[in-house]
Amino acid sequence: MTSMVLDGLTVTLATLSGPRTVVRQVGLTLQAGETLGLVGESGSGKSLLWLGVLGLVPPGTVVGGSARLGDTELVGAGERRLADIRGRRIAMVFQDPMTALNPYLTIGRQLAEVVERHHGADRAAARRAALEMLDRVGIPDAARRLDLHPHEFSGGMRQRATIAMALLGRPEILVADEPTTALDVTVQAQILDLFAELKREARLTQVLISHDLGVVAGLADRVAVMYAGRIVEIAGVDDLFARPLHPYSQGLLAAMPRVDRPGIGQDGAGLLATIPGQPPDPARLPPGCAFAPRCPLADDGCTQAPPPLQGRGAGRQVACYKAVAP
Amino acid sequence: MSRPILSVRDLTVRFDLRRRLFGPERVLTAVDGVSFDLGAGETLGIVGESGSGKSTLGRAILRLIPAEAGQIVWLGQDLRQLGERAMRPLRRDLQIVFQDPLAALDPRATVFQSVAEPLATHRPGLSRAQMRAEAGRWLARVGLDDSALDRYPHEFSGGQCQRIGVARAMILEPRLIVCDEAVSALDVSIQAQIVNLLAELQRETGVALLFISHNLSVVRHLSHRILVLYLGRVAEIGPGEALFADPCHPYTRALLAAVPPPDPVAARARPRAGLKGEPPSPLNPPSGCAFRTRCPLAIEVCATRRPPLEAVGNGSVHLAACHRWRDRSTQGA
Repeated sequence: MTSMVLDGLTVTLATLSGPRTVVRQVGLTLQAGETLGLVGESGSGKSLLWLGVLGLVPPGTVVGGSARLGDTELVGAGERRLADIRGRRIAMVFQDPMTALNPYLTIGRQLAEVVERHHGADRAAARRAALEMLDRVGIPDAARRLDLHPHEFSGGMRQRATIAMALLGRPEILVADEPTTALDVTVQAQILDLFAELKREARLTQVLISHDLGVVAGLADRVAVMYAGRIVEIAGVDDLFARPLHPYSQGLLAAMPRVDRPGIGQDGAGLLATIPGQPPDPARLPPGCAFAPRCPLADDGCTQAPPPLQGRGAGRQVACYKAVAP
Repeated sequence: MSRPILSVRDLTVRFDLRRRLFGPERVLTAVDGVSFDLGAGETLGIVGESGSGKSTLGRAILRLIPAEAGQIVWLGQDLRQLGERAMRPLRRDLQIVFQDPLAALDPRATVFQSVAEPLATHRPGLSRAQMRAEAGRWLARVGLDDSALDRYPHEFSGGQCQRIGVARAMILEPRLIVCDEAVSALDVSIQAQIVNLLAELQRETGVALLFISHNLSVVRHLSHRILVLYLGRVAEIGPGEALFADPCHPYTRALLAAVPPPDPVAARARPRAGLKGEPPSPLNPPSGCAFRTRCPLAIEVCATRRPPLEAVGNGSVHLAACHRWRDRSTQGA
């Protein structure tokens, strides 16, 4: 199995008001078989990082640095090479399954097409593979549903179908971008079970992008926290949740209302901890650490240059001048 | 609870969907016989999945959409019996905050115009200077400064727009605010700010909140009592701590078990999803108990008889609508 190494990865969008860098110098090694959680708020760059790597960005976008999948360099690879890698080596699942499905084609046809395209199977074999995969991702009565159109599926079934479609390419890496955010919580639980099964049984390498720390907590082996385009902390999931070191990771965890604890309405707690202010506009990042204006620990030293992501033992890296070792 | 300010009784809202040519008439029952009380200064969380009718319920209570049957007793009078003219002075006390703060504000109106608009309707005697002072005071209270008054909604972030929405809802010092997914579109760090703001405003002014949300974590944090809706019907209602400590309806248990806690050890230990499938269509709800098609405890009676909402705890504060609530420990669902 192949690992993936990102180094100095930068994504700059072309906007009406000029170039806007939304991913800055991201370095990351994705080990074969691991599940990496990628968390951050809107605008943190967590989705654009992967869209940039896979060339799924608007024209004019500049992707810099390096993204190596095994021996293959993806940055600057050109659309033909990337089109071959997308789906076959790295597959992506999105928040809204309807954007990934063609409303005019039956589910079966769309799934079979993936097998035909990437693995050169004939129509009958491709259809059989599609049926097996729909069954595998837990769509009841898959044989009948193969001939239905996306609008005849419920939201949860559509998301299962896009996961089936992603898996049919037999990718080495599955990138799931907010895959359960649009689903009801009972359906989300079913889809999370499916990801857990893929992790356990297929040892599939997964990147799980989410704003919901709960979603990531149960599935990820490691978690990377992004803020204003950079990774500010990366650590094993247990370490990150038990002892977050970056003040932003700490703030994010403390700001979450907890389903597993009584809150203010039950006199079990006071107000939630908050991070003052709001995330910066990527076009007007403060000099130095982008989190400094909201950070309780920041001093003059933090506003000079962005802190580098540095090792803090036990597989943990933190980008902070003030973070105290665990 | 002291004497309730709001008593909803058997409220039913139906939507007549357009008849298809030659097709059968289709009626969607969005809210189906819902009853509950709300006390002054209290937060009642209303949870349910999409299609559960939670937003429709909130809007029907404010008479933004008509109800077909039942009572909405507000401070002793049934709002359903009042004409729009008689309703108008009462609207001062009844406000709403929506999910999408940018969509809820008129893009061509300045923040001053949006925030002060309720004053123009309900306190017409105020001068423009007084209205500006009042709007500025509320903006300051929600954490924005005066300079916001003459700017337009698009100049603000989502969290700031929601603060503006809260200022607009609060400016008449209402006794009830319906918060319809009011923090659902916000990032975690901003969500915490708005949740705190609502809790503080409630403490300062005694405003009651109907906090409608699909997010059980936020609801648990903020609510004194929680109402669980399934296909337009009350599955369970009770004090927050009782509902979480001893959920009596199998749907409540499934809902609570489905939320992954932000704790890796507990999240990994989360039992496999207890519920299969998705909620049935409210166009064609199951006979008897609406939940029976997904319920691990369902037996024959569940298909034939609709379970009444009955007391399941000490006193009459914790209620559930389940034929088998006494058997809740026999299966882990």
